[in-house]
Amino acid sequence: VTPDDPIVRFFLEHSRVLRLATLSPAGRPALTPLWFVMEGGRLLATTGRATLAARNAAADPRVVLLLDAEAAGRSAHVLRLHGRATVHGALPSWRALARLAWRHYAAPPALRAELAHAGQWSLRRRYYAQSEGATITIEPDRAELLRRPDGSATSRRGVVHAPGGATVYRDLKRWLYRGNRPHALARALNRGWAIAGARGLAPDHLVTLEVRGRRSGRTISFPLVMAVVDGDRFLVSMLGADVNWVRNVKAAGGRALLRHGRSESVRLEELPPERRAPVLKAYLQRAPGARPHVAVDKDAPLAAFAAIAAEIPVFRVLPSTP
Amino acid sequence: MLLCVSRVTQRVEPEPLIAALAAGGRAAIAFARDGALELLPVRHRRDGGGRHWLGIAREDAPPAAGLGPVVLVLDAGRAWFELRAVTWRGHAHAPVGNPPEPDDELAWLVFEPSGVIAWDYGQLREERAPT
Repeated sequence: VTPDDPIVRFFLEHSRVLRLATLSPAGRPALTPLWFVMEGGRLLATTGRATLAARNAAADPRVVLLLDAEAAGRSAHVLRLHGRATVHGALPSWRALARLAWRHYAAPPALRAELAHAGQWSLRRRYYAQSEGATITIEPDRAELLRRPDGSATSRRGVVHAPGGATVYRDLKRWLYRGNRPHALARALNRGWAIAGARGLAPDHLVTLEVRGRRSGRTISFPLVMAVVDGDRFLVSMLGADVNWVRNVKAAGGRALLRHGRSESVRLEELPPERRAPVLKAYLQRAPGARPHVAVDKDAPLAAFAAIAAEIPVFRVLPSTP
Repeated sequence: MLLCVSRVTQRVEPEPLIAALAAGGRAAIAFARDGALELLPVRHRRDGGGRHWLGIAREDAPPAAGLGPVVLVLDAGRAWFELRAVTWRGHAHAPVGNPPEPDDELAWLVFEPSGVIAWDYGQLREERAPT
């Protein structure tokens, strides 16, 4: 991907602490977590003038960094950005400093930590007075999305562009599906919706999926919201890949029955992650019940959906083949 | 006569921080290959014997024979007083034995550290050092 790609912009907007790799003149690598802000398409990171990161970047401007978009919750990917660094022996502009201070001192999650450590504020002033500051300015060159290997992508912490209200509803929905499994009340509600969907009593976009259980062999019914994009129909697993209906559909080779008043034999074909973003957005627009389980707001840009797409299976509904 | 100066430091003992970051930290390695800088996110685990294992997405895994020098960083935090990290220097090589978490999607390396430092801004304090 290129630096002006929406995915890169998403990671730049939602990352707070980058990990900067530099190389010493002797060819030894260094790796440093640094906070940063964007200014005019460049990344500004502050550090001490005598630090390894500043000295290395001054000697060799080729740098590589990782961005996690941690403010948007953990995605399945990390963005690796290659760039060229310039080191200035001074702190950045007041404007950039103010933005850094807001992010790391004063924004609500940071403010809690600030107040908890109020007794150390004077120590921090002295800590900064011990060394001279520097700014590493990084001009992005090229970027790649890397698969996150730490096995934590399914922990959906944080919400991109979280809406202000509906907290109680969101918490209730998460409680009903705690551990990414529908608990007793959720199962009872699902059975009710499945019956309503099958009989055509529910709204048009609510359908009942019937699929053969991979272990029991029995037909299992499950209510789902149908997303429609460019005339094609899609089913989405809001809880990810590790749920029964997805495993049953895969075990059945995609063969299933959709019911909404009438029955329709279909074949469900899993969409590759790179094509899921517009479907996920359309799905969240239509399925308020799914929003508490997805780490992206319904109005977020498509790049935000692309960043989490690998976590959420999407199936295209096709006519069944004999 | 021994003179002492006070200095404010964020340095901490590595072990307690390693244990704290093992649950929610993120890990990455940097190394040089053919004169170019490489940087990869990794899954960091330690086995019962204290050996460091690095899990790398298979499609990004470098050739394992004699990777070094390597720097491994485990870090966490966004707010100033929550920023903390452990940095190891060392070498990595192909493992002998089974990784602690078999995962078909990861290639595993063993990391042999030669030095470690740790810092935690939440532990900022004054220390006296002789001059």
